[in-house]
Parts: sequence; structure tokens; C-alpha cells
Amino acid sequence: MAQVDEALDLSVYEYIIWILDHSISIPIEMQLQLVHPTFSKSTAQLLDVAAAQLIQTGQVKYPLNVCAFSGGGPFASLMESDRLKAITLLERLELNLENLPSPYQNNPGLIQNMMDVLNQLTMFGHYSEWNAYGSTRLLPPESRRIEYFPPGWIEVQYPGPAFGYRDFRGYLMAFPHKRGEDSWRKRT
Amino acid sequence: MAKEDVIVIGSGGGGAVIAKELGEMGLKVLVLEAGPWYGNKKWQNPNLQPGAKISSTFDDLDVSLYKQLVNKYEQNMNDLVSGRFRWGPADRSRSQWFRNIKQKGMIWQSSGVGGTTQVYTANCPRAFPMAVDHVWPLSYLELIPYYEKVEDTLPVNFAPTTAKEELFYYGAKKAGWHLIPTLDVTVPGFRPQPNAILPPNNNILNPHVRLEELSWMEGCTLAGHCVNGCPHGPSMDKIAKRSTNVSYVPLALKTSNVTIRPNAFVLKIVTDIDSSEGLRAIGVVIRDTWTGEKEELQAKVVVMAAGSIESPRLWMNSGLPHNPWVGKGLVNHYMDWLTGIFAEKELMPILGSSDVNPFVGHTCGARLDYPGLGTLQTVGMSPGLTASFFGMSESGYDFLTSSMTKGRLYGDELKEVMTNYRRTLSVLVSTDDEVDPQNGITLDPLISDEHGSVPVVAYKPTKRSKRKRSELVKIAVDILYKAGAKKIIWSNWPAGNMIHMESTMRMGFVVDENCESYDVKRLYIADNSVHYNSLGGPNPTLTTQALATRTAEKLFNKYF
Repeated sequence: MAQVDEALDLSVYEYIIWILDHSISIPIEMQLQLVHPTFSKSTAQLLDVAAAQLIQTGQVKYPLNVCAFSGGGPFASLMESDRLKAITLLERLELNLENLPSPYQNNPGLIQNMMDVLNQLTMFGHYSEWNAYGSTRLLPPESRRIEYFPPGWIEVQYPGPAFGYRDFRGYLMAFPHKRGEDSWRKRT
Repeated sequence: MAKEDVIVIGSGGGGAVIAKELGEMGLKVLVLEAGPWYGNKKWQNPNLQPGAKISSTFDDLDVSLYKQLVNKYEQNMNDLVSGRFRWGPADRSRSQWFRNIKQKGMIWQSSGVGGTTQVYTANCPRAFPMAVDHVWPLSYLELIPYYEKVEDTLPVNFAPTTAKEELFYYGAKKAGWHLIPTLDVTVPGFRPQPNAILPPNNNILNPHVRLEELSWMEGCTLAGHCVNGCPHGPSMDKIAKRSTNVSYVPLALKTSNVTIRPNAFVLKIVTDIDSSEGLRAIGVVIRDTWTGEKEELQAKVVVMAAGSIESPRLWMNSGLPHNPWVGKGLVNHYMDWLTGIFAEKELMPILGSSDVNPFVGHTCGARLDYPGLGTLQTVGMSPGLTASFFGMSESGYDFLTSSMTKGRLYGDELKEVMTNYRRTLSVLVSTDDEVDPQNGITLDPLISDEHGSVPVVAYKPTKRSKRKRSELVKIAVDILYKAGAKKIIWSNWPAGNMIHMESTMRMGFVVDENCESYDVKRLYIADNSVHYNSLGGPNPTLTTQALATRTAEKLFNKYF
């Protein structure tokens, strides 16, 4: 639960939405019928379909919280472990693939892949420097500027980009260069 | 229209090598690269403006500019959608280039001068002799002089020991494995990774030389940014990690015979029918990725080095003759990922320190090789990348808690592992993967982009590959426990993780033993796609580079 709260605090959902909506070029999106709604919206709808099925079939363990996320649908109203169940439902394709939004409709591989992608993006968004782009984080990459030390890096005690470390402990073996140990140095 | 001697498509692991070799032989070579060029004065803002069209002189290279662009921030550099090292156009406000992959997995490739070697961890093991001898159309002995030349040119050295290698060697020894002091691996054992990384500067332990000063000197600083983009060194040709943009590209430019054109995506191989040669390659059609303008360029010989997805895609989009093996037989070393978490008190007596600090030293500095099964390699990366690798699993979430978790991490468990990030050691499993014609690259019949029909990438391991991977997982688990891990995370990666793609334009099927295509004369291939198989599990780049060196010789002797 703590993880989810912190991911929310770091606005990682904004990262996921940005990435999904910038991952596919418009001509391809049109071929995938993805312009209305956007890729992030249809992915949210996918999660909502699974959450609704979970709720309707009485598989939800915890009470719903409809105010958890402003503007959120059924998936956002689930508690963490029930959300994982909804994702698992999609991963196991235990729902009617006919009723899903494009491009997920009858596309089992994409659904399964997206369940990994959403997890990966959440983790990368949380533990990379993304949040530290602060007020510039939703701008195009060339306009982003680091505004503070990334909170995810503080959490894991990563010191950030480094010029080097002095942890040299010698060599186990020397490389047997056929033309003499320092031929590269001589040549350059 | 000026006619080149040779056009090379792609400036990555193979393309830069063959360009340098041919340039040294006196041929006029044009290298076409789809992505941007980082560290060249003619492209001061390579992601914002088109800049110049070509560069052909060593003096254009600018290490200060490179250090400014390759800033080691993992989201900025490594994000697969918008990172500097992504598969996409130079303009990062535009989307990446689309590949249709209808299964769990990811494709880790990069456009730009240096190609995917910009992001690779520089591992340079040779193939296992048993995977080549009496299997490939050429013998291992024939490859050795070319391996040696590449190892000398990059150059390759054995990785220095930092804490994570020391911990791995400790665990491997306790598990009963022996050091195998060789480049030609015939028996199982552990060894330091042969890496294309310059040895640390003699001042690495000298407290009077500041680390920032050290980063402007020659040699690895153990900064751990192999994947984020190593910018450390006094000049572009002496950057510590030897991606081809800092190894072979500067050497190619020094010949004064090689011109490189970034931002140029090749759409088509142009052919004609010659009365004596039959169907042959005579040039290419390119598209400028900034302006969208198309142009035809001619050459006496064309070399495809666009990688295991784009080379077959280009073949098929060019309407070249049907060959049942074009795009077929993809191997990707059917990978897996395990992480050990260690306690401070266990680490102290082994390492003399309370942390492993996976972000220190070579990203992949130690390995265990097992001919017949594959390889294990230690991997230490920055935290965002590390965490994201815990998000992928064939088995979804593991709702059990024990001393071993199999599956994707989430919630408190993820938190616990990441809080212990500095006391983790991760191991990549790389399987001796079998060629199966069911796997590979096809064209999407419905979807196309500005470069033609998009590729569909599909891979499913064979039963034998599955069995081998699970044997390797057992060995990795044993080593991690013997090293003192108190808990192990076994990710059970999805099969579709494409990091070591090979074999989609197989030697003996699509190209001959000199890497010239059977169906189209004067068309050569110099990337991973010509490998006959998965090399037994070792990382593919060195073998591609050895073959590219050999192909240059064969091509020159035949046509010039």
C-alpha cells in the first residue's frame, strides 16, 4: 500500500499517461483506431472492464472507494490487492475479448504485454529521475530540467550519476592480447 | 549522382566495423544511419535541429559536446519511448518507430551513430567453439584471427573486480565452479567478463586526483554508466566504453574514405539485372528523417547492417526475391533474471564492506559459461532500470512470501527489495537458444509507417531452450545462496525480451559463408542476423564484429 501511495505522490500516473500517448505516431494510431480515445484512455478502459467484471462477479475482497481518484472509474475504486486481481484477470485472459476497446479487442498478446508494461512503467517512473523534472516533466524531453534530487533515488540511496568510484579491487586475469599487451595504446 | 564504392546501412555493432575495414582498404564508403549523431560538432542540438547532412572527418568529433548530451540520467537516456537511446528518429518530440510485438516482452535497440552499442554493456565473449564447429558453414579456427583483430582494435580486456564481481566469484567458488582462464570456452566455469572497456586509469585509487578529473582521463572510472551512456575519457576516440561510435567510427573517419550520414532511413534496396551477374544491388532509396525527402544513392556494393529486425524488414519491403529463411529463425537467448538480496553482516567478511553497490563498476563484469546450456552474467544498473526489470514476468504476481519469490514484484515486497537496492546482486540468464523457423520477423499486412510495412516480431522458445534455461536458473540460484543471499527474486522473464537478437538472415540459408546474399549479388549483411545460431549463449556483438571484419576482406577481394 505504501508503494502505491508514494507512486501517487510522485505523480507516476502522469508519466505512464505521457509515455502511452507519445509511444505511437499518429499515422499508426489511426491505423490502430487509437486517436479517439487515446492509447492511455483505451488502456484505462481496459482496466475498468476487468475491474467491473471483478465487481459484478463478487470477486472483490475489499470495499470500493469511489473517491480514491478524482474522475476515476471502477479500477481506481479498487483497493490495491483487488487491482492486482483485475490485472491478473486480464493477464490470464479470463474475460470476453470481444467486449474490449480498440486496440485490445481480440488482441490477447497486446493485453498481456500491456500488463507487464504498466508495471514496468510504474517502477521506472518511480525509481528513475522522472519526477525530479518537476514543473518541466510533461514538456518534450529537450525542454526538461532537473529541479531537485530524485525522490526515488533518495529512497534507494542511489547517489545519482557519478564521475566514478574508487572500488577497484584488482584483476582476476589479464587479457592475452596476441599483438602485445599495449598494442592499442601504441597505435593510438 | 556520385557513385560510392560501398554503402553500409547502419552504424552499429557491425556497420561501423565494416566501414572502417573497407575505408582502410581504400574504398569510398558511405554509412547511412537512421538516428542522430551524438558528439559531432555538425550536430550541436541533434535532437532539436536537422544540423548538417554528412560528416567525414575525425576533427568533427567533440567530446565536450558528447559529455553534455550523454548525461547519464536513466530516464533521459534509456526511456524506450523518449530516451536519447531509443529506436526512433532524432527528434524526440516525435514517437519511436513502431514494431508490432503481440506477446509480453520488450525490444532493446537504439538508433543513432553507434546503434545499439551505445546502450550495450560492451561484453565481448567469443562464441562457444562447440556451437560453431561442424555446425556453422565455417570453422571456429577460421574465426579466431578475426576475433583477435577485433579484440585488439576495440580493445577488449577482462573486467576489473569491484564488489559485485567479488561476490559472484565467491559464490561460484563455493558452489564448486572453477575459474576458466580462456577465451575459447570448452568447459563450464566462471571468469571475468571480456569487455570492450578501457582498463581503469592508474590514478583510480589516488585520492589526490578528483573523480571529475579522472573522468577526463583515459580509462574506466567504474562509474557504472555502461547502459546510461559512458561519456568518460579525454577525447571521443578514447571514451572508456567502446561503443562503435567511439571505437570503430573514429578509426573509420581517420581513413578519410568514410562518410557518415545520420538521420537517413533506408527504405529500399535498388537492384538491376546484369547480363553476367544476374540480379544485383546497385543502390538504395533513403528518406531524410527530418525533412521527409527521399533520395536515391548508388554504389557498387551494398551492405545491410541494420540489425536482426530491420535487415529482413528492408529485404521484404524492397521486394527482393522470396527466400523462405528471410526473417526466420530468430533467437534471443531466451533470457531470465534473478536477484539476490544480502544482509550487511554476511557481506562484511566477504567484501569488507556492508554494501554490494550494484551501480559501481562494469555493468556486467563477471560471468559463468556452460557450453551446452548457456551463460550467467552479473548485472548492476541504475535504480529505475533495475526496478523496471522486476515488473516483467511470465508468471504475473507471486502472492506468496518465502525466501524465494517467483514472478513480478509489487507493493511492500518491491519496496523491500528496492530499499535493499545497495545490497542486491542480479544475474542475467542467457540461454543456448535453438533456431526455430517459426520465430522471427514478418511484415504486418495491415500497418505501415513512413518507411513501409512495419515488422511483426514473434518468438517462442523450444522445449529444449526451456529445459536449458531452467537448468541455468538452478545454477544461478545455487550461486546466489552460496554467496549468502537471504532472499532471491526469480523474475521468470517473458520469452519475448529481445536483447540479443540474432539469426534472422542465417548464414548458409540467406547469405553464403562470406555473408553475401544468395539471391542478390553485391548485397552483403554485416549484423547479428547472419549468425547461424545463438553462439551457444554468449553475447553476440564480438562475433558480429569478427564476421564484419572477415566480410570486408571477402567483399574487397571479390569486387575491387
